[in-house]
Amino acid sequence: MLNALLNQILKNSIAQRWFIVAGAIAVTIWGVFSVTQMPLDVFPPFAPPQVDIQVEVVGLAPEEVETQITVPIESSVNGLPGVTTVRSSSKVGLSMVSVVFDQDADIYQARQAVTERLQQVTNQLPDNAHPPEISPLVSPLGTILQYAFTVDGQGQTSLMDLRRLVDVTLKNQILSVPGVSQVTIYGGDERQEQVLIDPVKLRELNVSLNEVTAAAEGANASAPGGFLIRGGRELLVRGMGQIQSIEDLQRSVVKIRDGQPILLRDVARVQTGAALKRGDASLNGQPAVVLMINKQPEVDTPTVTNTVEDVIADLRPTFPGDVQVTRTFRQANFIDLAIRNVSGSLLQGVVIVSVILLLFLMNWRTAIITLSAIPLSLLIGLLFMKAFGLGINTMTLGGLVVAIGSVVDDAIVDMENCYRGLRTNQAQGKPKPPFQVVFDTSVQVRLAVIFSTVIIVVVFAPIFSLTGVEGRIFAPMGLAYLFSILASTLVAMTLSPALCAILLANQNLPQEGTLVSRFAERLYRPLLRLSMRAPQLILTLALAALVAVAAIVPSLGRVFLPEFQETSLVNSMVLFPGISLDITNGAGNALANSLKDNSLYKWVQVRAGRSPGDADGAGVNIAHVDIELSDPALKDRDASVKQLREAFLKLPGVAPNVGGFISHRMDEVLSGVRSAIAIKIFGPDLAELRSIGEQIRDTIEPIAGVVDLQLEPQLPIRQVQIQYDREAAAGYGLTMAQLSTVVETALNGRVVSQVPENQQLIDITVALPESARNSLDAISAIPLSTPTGEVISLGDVANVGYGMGANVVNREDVSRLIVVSANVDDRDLGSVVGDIQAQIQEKVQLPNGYFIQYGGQFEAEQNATNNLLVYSILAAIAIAVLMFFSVKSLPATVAIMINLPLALVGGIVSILLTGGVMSVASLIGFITLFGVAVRNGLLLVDNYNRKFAEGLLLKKAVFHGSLERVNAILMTALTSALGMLPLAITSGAGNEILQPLAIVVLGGLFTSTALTLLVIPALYARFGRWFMPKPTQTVLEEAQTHKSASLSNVIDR
Amino acid sequence: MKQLPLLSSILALSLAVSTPAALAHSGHGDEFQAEGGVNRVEVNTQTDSLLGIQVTAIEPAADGSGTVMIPVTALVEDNDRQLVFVQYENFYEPVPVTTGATQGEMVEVLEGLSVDEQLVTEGSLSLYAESRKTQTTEAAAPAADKTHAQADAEGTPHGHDTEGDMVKSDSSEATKTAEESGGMPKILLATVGGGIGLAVVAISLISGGRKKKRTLSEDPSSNR
Repeated sequence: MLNALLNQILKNSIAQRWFIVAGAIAVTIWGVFSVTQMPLDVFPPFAPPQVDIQVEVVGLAPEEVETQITVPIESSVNGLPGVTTVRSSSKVGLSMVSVVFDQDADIYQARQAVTERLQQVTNQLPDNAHPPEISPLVSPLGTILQYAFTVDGQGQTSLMDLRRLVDVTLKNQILSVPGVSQVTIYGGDERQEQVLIDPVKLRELNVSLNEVTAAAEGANASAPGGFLIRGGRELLVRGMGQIQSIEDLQRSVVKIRDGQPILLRDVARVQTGAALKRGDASLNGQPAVVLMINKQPEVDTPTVTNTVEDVIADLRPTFPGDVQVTRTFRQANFIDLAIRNVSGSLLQGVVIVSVILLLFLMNWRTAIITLSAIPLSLLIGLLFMKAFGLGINTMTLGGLVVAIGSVVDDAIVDMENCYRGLRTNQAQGKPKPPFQVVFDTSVQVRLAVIFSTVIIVVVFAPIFSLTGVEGRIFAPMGLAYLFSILASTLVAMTLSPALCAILLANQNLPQEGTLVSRFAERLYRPLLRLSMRAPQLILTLALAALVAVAAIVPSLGRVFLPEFQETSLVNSMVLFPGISLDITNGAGNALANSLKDNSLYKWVQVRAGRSPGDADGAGVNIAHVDIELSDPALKDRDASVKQLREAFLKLPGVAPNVGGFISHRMDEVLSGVRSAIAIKIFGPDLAELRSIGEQIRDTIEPIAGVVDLQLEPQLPIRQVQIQYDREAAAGYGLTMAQLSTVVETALNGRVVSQVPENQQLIDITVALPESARNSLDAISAIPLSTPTGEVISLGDVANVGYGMGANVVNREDVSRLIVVSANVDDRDLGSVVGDIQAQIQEKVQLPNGYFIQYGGQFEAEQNATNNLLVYSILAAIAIAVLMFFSVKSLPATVAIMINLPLALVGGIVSILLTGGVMSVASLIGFITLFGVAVRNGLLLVDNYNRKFAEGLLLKKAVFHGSLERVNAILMTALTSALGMLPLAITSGAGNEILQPLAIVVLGGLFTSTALTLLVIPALYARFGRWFMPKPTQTVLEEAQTHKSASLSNVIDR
Repeated sequence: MKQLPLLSSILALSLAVSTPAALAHSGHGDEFQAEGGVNRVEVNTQTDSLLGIQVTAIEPAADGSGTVMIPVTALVEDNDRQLVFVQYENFYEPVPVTTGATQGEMVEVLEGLSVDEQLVTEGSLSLYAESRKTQTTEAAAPAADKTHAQADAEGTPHGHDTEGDMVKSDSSEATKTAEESGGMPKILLATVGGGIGLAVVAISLISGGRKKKRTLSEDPSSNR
């Protein structure tokens, strides 16, 4: 029935050939139009739905952040529908909670649910905590632009003005650009009106700190005065208590003493100053304000980028003359370059394919028939992609480029058979109607075309069983490839016959083959003879090559993805916890200095610490270093990166992580998982957790196969601890709350009010000056007023000293945890995990309230292993069944399948020659190879079977069958292989993934084709009898052919 | 003989599954470890000042006694002991010290230091941190020049594990070749899978009549 349907389609395609051509043109136009509408991005979205909540509390220690902020938030969001994990990290002055949802959760619903729950806890948070912020909807690769603003040499503009310029003028303008979701500003000084209390004067005048705070707070107030209604008019009444200037603030009264007012200026210095910094920025060692712009997911990157650039260009003339603007990052550059490179390769590939076809056919008509399949298949593939919601990115583009060589194959096979059929037909005495020849020849190869497509689909299927990040990255590539291949089959069954009918049917076709094809046949004939005479020799050689290659495979290096050839590097630079922002800045400057005269690096931009709203939540000991590679550096990118890493490592105590923007962001997304085995110990007490962790570490250390064993490090950092002496405090009548308030105001500073200035609110803070709090002695000397009116020192009621405290407290699923992690070597993972579990069960006693969970990669691996195993077996079975029904003989199926491993040989050798590293891209190359190898094998065996059916003797059938097909096979192989030549030899942006793939296909197709052409005949020569299809089936096939022949008669009428 | 689809997907699996472990590194709290020895650090006059490293000679006590007083900022806590760094010629050497009474910002050193030594008074934490960098961070550095540290030590053992595991899960048929090398199980497994595939074909061939086969033959293509 299916056959009938396909015949009908084919018949109509030939009969309505002009209609098909018109349809193809329409689809092409529609496709081109659609492509311009599809969003461009660098990568498919790969992060799971996740909502990040950040709460900032300046100066609070990790342990307090945990109890006062993280725990309430965690418990409120825990148990939301669809939540898989709640992870949190309590750092100095910052609580970060990540709520990870199911893969298929709707991110907007998830955010909504989290927001609702957060409202309930907002009131419970400490007073000085900023309200919880949910990070805006940004994809991991959402950073589209970065600008650095610097001041020229002796410029007038201060860093404070610069910050304000960026903050006020630019930020709001850029945020209003459609598609921009977040603007983060690093560096510069944030302006504050500071009331710096002089402790000496406090003592002299017997003023308490709280009184000063109250005075500063009370100095600024304005209230509505209602209306004055008189004489039929209504006048608005305003109380004008707003502070207009610093002088106003200075003149505010603190208290009356001996009839004289004590003003704020008598006890404090009031000044405009910079707020405490938790982050900073520099460009080439010069202080800078860095603007980072993130886009919303699923928005076209180049469009947003261009709009933002226009906005900046428009505003630029309004900046002071000494302000320099440098664009330090532009993701669209990579996208542009990648797309330019890939389309360049595509064009070159098309040219090469055309040249090959012309050489073999020496006929522009045939070239048109085959080449028309390329754009059409790719465009139909793109239309499919659009329908399935896939955008254009490096992965989907990669899939398409890989498909170039293959999409033309179906058309070649169809056209070649048609051409040969028509030629033979013309040579015969009484030729059949040419359209019927077109129909017959198309039917002849249809099975091979369909089967090879179906086989490619089946071979690809296991890739779609990958879940998680891997699945999200590779599925779009696989889909893009499959869509194009399916489209090409469709084209080969409709447009190609139609074009054959138009361009070839009524032409006088040259009887002789072209120079190249005759040469190929002449070259092949003796080789074929050799393989048929000495099949053992050929088979032994093939087997030896296979065994050799199988031995090489385990020694090849493996990478997940090849490194992207980005010019923008985003490096993280981690200093020891407890290091101050100054030193982090200094390290950045030191690096900038050391790279200053190096022409390989265009600029060094350092973003130290964090900025509000920044999702990284980095402490002041961490800096992000953005470095742009220059064009000479790109010539040998690896060496440039290596040199950079060395420059980093020269700085003592600096741990760098050097890599491109994309890999950096992928690291961040994948960072939850790192080791094969993670033993998570949950429990309330950090010290207890640590001791259990040590116990477990020691228990599993002797287990064979356990390597990289590590107990999660806790790096305690030095703190200043103020231990209140409750007894002494009671003696003075001071409560802990009073003490804490004073300590907080004096040391951390307190924002008491805000003044509007140029449409912006500026904080008024009260604190002690730096000099009055920069040592233990100074802290001890902080004056305290007791309820009895006495003035005492903090040291009288508290002990100020150094202590150690946690640097960060991590939690998961609403409990503190410590992780013992390990990898496994020389043993299989499952049994090691089993041993570990047994050993821990036996030897480690857990106190009440503590429990252990086993996690890590091994879980995911076991799942994926099982999945892939099942899918692979299914795929193998499916392929065998397909093959069998295609050639109708079990031994022949085996013969074709034997052909497949041979495809490996050349691919692996070419990997070995080009660096010996295998990536997933290479694997996809192998899959492409198998597709071609199957097709080649099928074409041969199919032809043999037809010869047998015609009653030829085995040897003769094999010999002629092989010779007849050699041109089609060489053509498909050469187009597939050489079409990828541009990809294989050019490196650079966009080709990273495609290059290893192209290398595999290029190398593999040569051996595969050569071996196919020799090994299958050799197999037939050696084991010929077994391969003959059963006579009954031949009869059946003939019946079929007969039926279709009668059908095709209709066409001519 | 159905090695290839299997082999390919097994390779895909081992890559896809094993590498994230190698991929995810650094920047997330594992750059430094808590334990291990402390090494000396070479002096680099160009960058040391930028990193806040300051060296001052220890001054003799004002009262003429042999007491050694150093700023608290010079001390580094290394688990249970205290360290300072002292510059000897071209290196900053770690020196364990025993401290006594604290006087404000100064602390008395009972053992380990003497007057006139070139003490690192500020920036000693960076010098200490140099020895605390985790192995992976350092090891990744040379290895990563080619492939961005993804191919570092973790990746490869992983791949083997996966395969090993897979062989295990199919162990009933695989045990007889247990002595084969790490790379072989793949092929072995593939053969097993292929065998199953062939068996199914054979069964369908034997049991099913031709009619049945024809319907089967149409199935896959109609699935397209």
